[in-house]
This record gives sequence, C-alpha cells and structure tokens, in this order.
Amino acid sequence: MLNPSTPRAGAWLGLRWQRAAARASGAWPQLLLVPAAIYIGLLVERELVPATTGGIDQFGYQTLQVWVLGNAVVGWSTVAAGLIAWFRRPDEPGGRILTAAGFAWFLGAASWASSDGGAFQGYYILLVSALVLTYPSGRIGSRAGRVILAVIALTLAVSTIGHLAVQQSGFAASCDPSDPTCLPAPVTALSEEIPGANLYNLMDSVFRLVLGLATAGVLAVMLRSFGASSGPNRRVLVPAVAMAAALAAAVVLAVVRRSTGLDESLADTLLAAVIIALALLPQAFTWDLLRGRLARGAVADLVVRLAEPAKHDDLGVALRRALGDPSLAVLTWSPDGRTYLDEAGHPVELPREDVAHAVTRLTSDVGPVGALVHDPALRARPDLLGSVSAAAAMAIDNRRLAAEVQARLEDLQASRARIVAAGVEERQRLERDLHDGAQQQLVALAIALRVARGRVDAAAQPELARSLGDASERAAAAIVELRELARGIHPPALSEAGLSAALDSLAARAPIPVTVEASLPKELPPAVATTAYFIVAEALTNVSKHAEADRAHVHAEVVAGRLRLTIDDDGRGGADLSRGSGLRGLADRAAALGGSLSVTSRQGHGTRLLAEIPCAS
Amino acid sequence: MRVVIAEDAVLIREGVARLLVDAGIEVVGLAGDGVTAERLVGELGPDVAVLDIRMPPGGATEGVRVAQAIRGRPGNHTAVLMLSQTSDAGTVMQLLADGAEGVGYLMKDRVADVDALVDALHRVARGESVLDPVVVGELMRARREPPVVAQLTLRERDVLSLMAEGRSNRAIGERLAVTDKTVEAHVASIFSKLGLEPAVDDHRRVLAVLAHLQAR
Repeated sequence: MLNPSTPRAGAWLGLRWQRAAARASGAWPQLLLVPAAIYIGLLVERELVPATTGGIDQFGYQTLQVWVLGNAVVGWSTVAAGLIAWFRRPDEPGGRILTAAGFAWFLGAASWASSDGGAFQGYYILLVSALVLTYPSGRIGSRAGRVILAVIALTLAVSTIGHLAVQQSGFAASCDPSDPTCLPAPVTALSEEIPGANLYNLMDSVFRLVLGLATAGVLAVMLRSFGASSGPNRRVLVPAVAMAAALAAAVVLAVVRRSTGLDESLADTLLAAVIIALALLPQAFTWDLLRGRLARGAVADLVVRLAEPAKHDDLGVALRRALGDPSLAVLTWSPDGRTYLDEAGHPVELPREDVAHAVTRLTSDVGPVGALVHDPALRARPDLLGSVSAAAAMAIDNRRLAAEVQARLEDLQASRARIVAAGVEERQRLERDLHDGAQQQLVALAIALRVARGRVDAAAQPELARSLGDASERAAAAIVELRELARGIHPPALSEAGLSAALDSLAARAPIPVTVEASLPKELPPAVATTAYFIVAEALTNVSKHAEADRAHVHAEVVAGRLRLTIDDDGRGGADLSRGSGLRGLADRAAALGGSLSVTSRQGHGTRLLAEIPCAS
Repeated sequence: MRVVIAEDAVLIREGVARLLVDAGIEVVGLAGDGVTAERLVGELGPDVAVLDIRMPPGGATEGVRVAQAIRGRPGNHTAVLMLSQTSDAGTVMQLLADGAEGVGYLMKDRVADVDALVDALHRVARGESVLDPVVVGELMRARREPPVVAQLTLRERDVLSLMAEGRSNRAIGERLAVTDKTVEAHVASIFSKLGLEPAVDDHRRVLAVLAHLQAR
C-alpha cells in the first residue's frame, strides 16, 4: 500500500514553489515589509522593556515578562503569516488585513509604551475583527458584523482623539517624555489630582468595555455562522472562530483583570494561553488560505489542461496530478451504458471500497459518466475532491459528446457521399435508358418514316409524300433534342472516354474559345468525374453568360489523391459563389464528396474557380 | 454495292436495311452484335460494314473494336461506316488512328436522310473519308492552341470544315458554288496558314486537318 501523504506533500511543495517563482517578480514591495516588521518589532521591544518596568508594582514581574516576550512573537507571527498569505494570494484581502494587523499590534504596543498613553492601542482588534468577519468570502456576511465593525472603528477613533486631546491639554506634562526616568503611566495609574483625570478614566473604562463587548459580538457572529454551516464550509471557519475566541478572550481578560482582583497566577496562565493563541492562529489562517488556494489552483490547472484538445487522453495523468494521488484510476462509463471501462478501454468492475481504495462516482444530468478510484485519504479534502470530480465528469462527458458528434459527422459525410454517388448512378442509368429506349425508338421511327416516304410515289400522292417527309424530319429533330437532353443528364463521353475527353467535348461546345489542359488517370470514381464534369460545365456556362470573357482555360490534374480543377477566364470578374444557385449546388456536391469549391473574382480581373475533390482510388 | 449492317436495336437494324434496299443497295448480312458482325464481314466480304458504335458484347466502343479488327485484316477491302448516337471526337480519333482511308462516322439521326447515308456509303466504299458535320464542328472549336482557325477567313473556314468531313475539292466547289481553282487556292492558303504540308489524297488531307485540330 502506498503511503498517501508523501507524494501528495511532494506535489504540493512542487506546485508551491512553481507558483512562488511565477509570482516573485511582482512581489518585491511586499517583501520589503519583512525587514520593516523585524526592525519595528525590535524597536518596540526596546521601548517596551523599560516601559513595563514601571508596571512591576501593578502586574508582577512574571506577567510583564510574558507580555514583553509574547508581544514580539504575536506581532512578528501575524506579520509573517499575513505576508505569506498576501504574497501567495494577492487577489484576496486576507493577507493584507493580516499584515496590517501585525503592524497594528506593534503600533498599539509602541503607543502603550510611549508618552501618548495608548492613543493608538486597539487597532489590532479592529483589523483582526475585520479579518475574521470577512473570512472566507472577502465580504462581511451579516449586518451584525458590519455594525460591530463600525462600533469598534468609532470607539477607536474617539479613543485616539481623546487620548491625544488629553495629552495636548498637558495633563501628562508632569513628566517629561525625554526624561528616561519619566515612565508613561498606564491609564489607571493616573493621579486623580490631575485635572480631567476622572473624565479620562471614565472614557478609558467605557472604551475598554465597548471593545470587550464588540469582540464578544464578533465571536457570537462567528459562532452563529459556524453553527449555520456544515461539512467542508464549517471546517473552513474553524481558524476564524478560534481567532475570534482568542481575541475576545484577550480583550475580556484585560477588562476583567483591570476591574476585579483576579488571581494573579490564574490571570498569567490565561494571558499566556491567549498570547500563544494569538501568535499561532494567524499561521493557521494562512495555512488554510493556502490550502484552499492549492485546491482551487489544482482544479483550475486541471480545467485548463482538460480544455486543451491535445491533452485529452491525459485525463488520468491530469487527475493524478491535480489530486496528488498516483494510485488514482479513472473509469469511464461505456457508451453502451452497461459497464465501466478503464483507461485502456477494457471493461472493468467497479472495485469495492477498502483501506487503499475509495470510489467517487461521476455523474452528469444524463446519468453515470464514470468513476474515480482513489486514495481514501482524499476524503479529508471534500472540497478539492468535489471540484476535481466535477471537472473530471465534465471532461469525460465532453469527450463522449465530442466522440458522438464526430461519429455522427462521419456518418453524415459518408451518407452525403453515398447520396451523390447514388445520384450519379441514377443519372447514368437514366441516360442509358434514354439511349437504349426512347432514342432508339425515335431513330427507328425516323427511319421507318423515311422508308415509307421512299416507297410513296411522290407524283401520285404528293401530299402524303410531303407529310411523311415532314414527319421524318421532325423525328430527326426530336432525336437531336433528346440527345442534348441525355447529355445534360449524364454525358456519355464521361463513362465511355473518361473525364479528359468529356472536358474536351465540353470545351468544344462552349461558345467562346476554351483551352483544356488535363492530365488525369482514365479511371476516376464516377461520382468524382461526374461532379468535376458538371462543375466545369456550369463554370463555362457562367463564363459565357456573365463574364464577357474572350477566352477561358480549364486545368485539371490529380495531386496527392485530390482532383484539382481550375477554370480561369479573362472576363470582367466580380463573380460570387453565393449568387449563382448552380454553382452553389455544385459546391454542395463537391463538399458531399469531401471536397471544396471556391471562387476568386476581382472586378475587372477575370474569375478563377477552384475545385478540389478527393479521389483516392 | 454489298453491305453488312451491325446494330443491336432490331427496329433500327431492320429500318436501315429497308432504307438501303429501297435505295438499291444490296444488304447481304445483318448482325445484332460485334462478334457476329466480325464473322459476317469475314465470310461475306462486303464493300461496306455499317457498324453501330455501342453494341454487345463490348458495350460502349464495341463498334470501334470491330472496325479495327476488320481494317486490320490482311488484304481487307471492306470499308467501315460507323453509326453513333453521340458525337465524340475522342472515339473518332481512335477510329482514325489506323488511317482515314475508307472510314466514315455518321450521327445516327443522319440515317433518316437517305441521300446522305447512301452518299456516305459510296464515298467510303471508294476509299474516301466521311465525317459527320456535327463532329467536325466540335473539332473546329476544340482548339487547344491559340486559335489558329481564327486566322482563317470565313470562306476558308467553310472549306476547312468540308475538308474535315472528307470532301474532295470538286465536292467542296459544288457545295460552295465556286470553281475547283478557287477551292485549290483556298486549300493552299489554309495549309500555309496552319503550317501543314500539302496533301495529295483527300483522306490524308482529312487526317492532316483532323490531326491539326486535335493537336495538343
């Protein structure tokens, strides 16, 4: 049994690098954010370490250590995950939001540590909430989500302005920010003796309370949509829900801790857990984004591959590659609708499912089209398997339809050729019947009349003699007419002397000088010879009727199993195949024999009619 | 004059026989197919064999085969007059391949014109050549080269057609109502315009003219 994970991972990595290479050229500005993030992170850490020492009294040393270390890890992890997602999926907003959230995290920490007293804290919460609420569609699905985001944004804006205003009013001026010993005090440390401190503290509390409620709201929204979805969609939401939970926990923990005297060691443990979650969840996010993209990319690749007709027979290859399962076998439902066929076209039974084989049936609206026999491990990726199966079903169905159309086309072509051949045969028979029947009878009649005329004494019965003479002349005229009619039905020269001779006699009867250059085998299929003959006849008729030509030239030869006819004239040109119904019908006949007929005719430059008819004999 | 008639259509065969008998020609044998015709000609040695072109057993060109067989016999003195329902220059040239002496080719409907038929029989029996004007007309127009015939005057074209039909100078003169001298002058002019060697015999003249008209 094959270990399914190894080759799949290999294919996965291969694809990943291929894509990365393809994208790299457009990704340099994003890559510049990596050193920026590292630098900013280090800078913030440097600010943070002295800043937190002021809080030892309040929080305890261990808490601060966790906080300082965790701070950097969360920031960098978030930026890194965001950049990877951004780099690999520039078409989706997730990567950008996550990257921004990472920087917002640093901004918040720096803001907390600096003398502005935390004016820019909390934007991380806004961005993560946005990320979670827009996942995975890129849009906010619910009105509640939009309201919550608006509330968070408004609260943050008010808080920032408030903080800055308080600072501008000089309320923090008791301490010079340039003095290294002057510690920017956490808000609760503000002395009530300072004017406006009450207002400030109230505002700060409200701010935290609102944020706590808002993040809880985000979690609630996510839980609701998690509960409403099922199957693969539910699985996709897991990192988003977890992220919302961690965020809510972090904010609520901060609020609770501030307002109540929570047990320190419990609080530290919770804080550590939240920080670890906040550091890891962006990675889970990105992993999921990439996996989703991989699945979609594989399917897109597959569809593109299957759209190329030349790759048609590679369905199995393409599917094995798309699913990363070298053991995969494609079975197609046989045209007679009784059994499955393997890739070599042999009938096979659908295998039973076991530890090594899973079967996914492919169906279209007309019924079963085939089945995929694959590694059961693929069941863990229902979205990928579903998309690939759909593409495979489409491809197989397409191929079946194409084969059907092709077969019908061939049938049609063959039947058209048969109809033309039958028509030619019928004309030949008709001409023979005329020759052996009516024409002979008329000749015999003319002769009999002539004999009778000869036996009448013209002096004794002048009227009878004249009548018989008239009658025999009329019979002779009828013979001539009938001969022309028979020739129009099927030229006897064609079956007796071949196409070359028949073309000569056509040229001879034309009212303008026509030269014939024909090097043809004596034996051509009758349908071909007859069609060629009538094409030339019709062309010469058109030339003499419409072209105002002085002369015409007919060229006929067999090249590579095709009879090539050209009829040129030096007339006024401007002829059009679509206008002459006679030529149109002959073009149809040529096409019925697998050939073609075209007219090149520029005004004032004569006309060239070119016909090609396959005559492999 | 003794004639054998080969024609697969009974009505025509009997009709032609009666016509000829009425015209004072001795019909010594009747055949319904090419093989019988060949045998009768061998046995009876007629002056002329009147042959249908399309006959059993050979079909479309059985008449040509019989004609070639008759004319190929050593010491043959039987002339051949082909009757055809269609005008086909190719068949004519095939027929004349062994020489134009004592060979004729008439359209079947011409048969009703008993004078023309009898005239043709007499001419081929004398060793002349006879070609139906319909066939000659086709040949006159079936030029493959730049139309040399177009260089000829109208009168010269008439003379050329009559020459191709196998007419002698005298017959041409009668037909066109001009003197022999005038015809000779036209013939000389035609030959020089077409670049042909002057030919003495009428039937060689036919061949030369036909060969020229047929030339590729």
